[in-house]
Amino acid sequence: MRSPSVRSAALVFFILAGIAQVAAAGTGSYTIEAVSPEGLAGTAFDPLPISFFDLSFREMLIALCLSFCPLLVDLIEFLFFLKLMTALGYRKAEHNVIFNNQNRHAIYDYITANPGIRFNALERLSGMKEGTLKYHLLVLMAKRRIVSVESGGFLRYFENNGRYTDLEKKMFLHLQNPTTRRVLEILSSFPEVSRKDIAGIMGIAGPSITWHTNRLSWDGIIKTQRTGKGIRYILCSAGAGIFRQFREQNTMMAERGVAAGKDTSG
Amino acid sequence: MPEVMSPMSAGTITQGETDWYSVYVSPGTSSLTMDLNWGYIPDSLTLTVLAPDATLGPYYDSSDGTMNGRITLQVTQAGGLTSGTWKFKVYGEQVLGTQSYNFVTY
Repeated sequence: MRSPSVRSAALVFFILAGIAQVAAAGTGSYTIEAVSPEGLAGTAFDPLPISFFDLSFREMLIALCLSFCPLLVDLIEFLFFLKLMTALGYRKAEHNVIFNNQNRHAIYDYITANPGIRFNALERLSGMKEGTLKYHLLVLMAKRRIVSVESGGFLRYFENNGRYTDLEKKMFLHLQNPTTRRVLEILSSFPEVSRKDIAGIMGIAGPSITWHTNRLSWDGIIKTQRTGKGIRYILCSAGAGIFRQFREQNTMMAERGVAAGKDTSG
Repeated sequence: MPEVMSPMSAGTITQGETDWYSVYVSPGTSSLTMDLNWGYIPDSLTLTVLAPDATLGPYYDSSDGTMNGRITLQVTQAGGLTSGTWKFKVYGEQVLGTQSYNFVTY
């Protein structure tokens, strides 16, 4: 008859052998290869920033192990491999269920590829019925995968990357229009510039300037002042700060070559 | 000013800080390329990948064979990557002050 110590040793051996096998199978089945920055190809995808609390139970355990005792990572993987956690009453929360629906996933892809897309454009691109599209948009918003921003009287949809305020998103939308962007550059360089001055600098008619400034004004980016017969525009402090931030960020990225798909570091 | 104004996230990190990211990998995806770029060699950032069925890393600046303040790695698997939400841990291992970085996948 075997002693308890022999049985314990055999159990430990079995667990260690299992861990080794899982470690080999888990990471060994994936191949990691270095890629030269020049070799980066395809569309760059901006990952979604999340918090620790958005991680699944397994990932939280692994994250804690990585911080305090990396050697335990393989043990956690082993336990999940054997689904012992299920035997202990743990039920895996299915975070990906939201994307199991092809239509919803397609909508999410359209929004990711077209930041600030409008409902009508989504309807046209997806070919879905209005009610279906509304339902999936509501689900994606409830799950915090996307956010909507009202601009120019329309709802526009963004991937929820959690880094930008509503005003920053509106600014981003305006910056997509070269004429509006030029108006903002002028307002940034010449505070309290008049409509006539802007029209003169840009060489376009006053009513066209009004169309762009009205949209900026509706979104709270600029203020309008009547001075006698003329109109002056002032970039509001929040709008000026955001515009400066976007410009500096893009300039910095361009100078350092940090933008996706570029390389300056060799 | 560059022609395209992108909302692409450019994070910042300090020493000991951790940032998490997620990417959904569709069924049938054959590879995933990660590009973590901070561009300042004296600072050290690490990247750990939490696939639905494995933990990969942590990877360091030198993991791609070049010390350049950038980690560019490609993950592949015979038969395709396991679909689901992949998580990424960006960790400020050694950072003087605050370091900005850019993290994208392909």
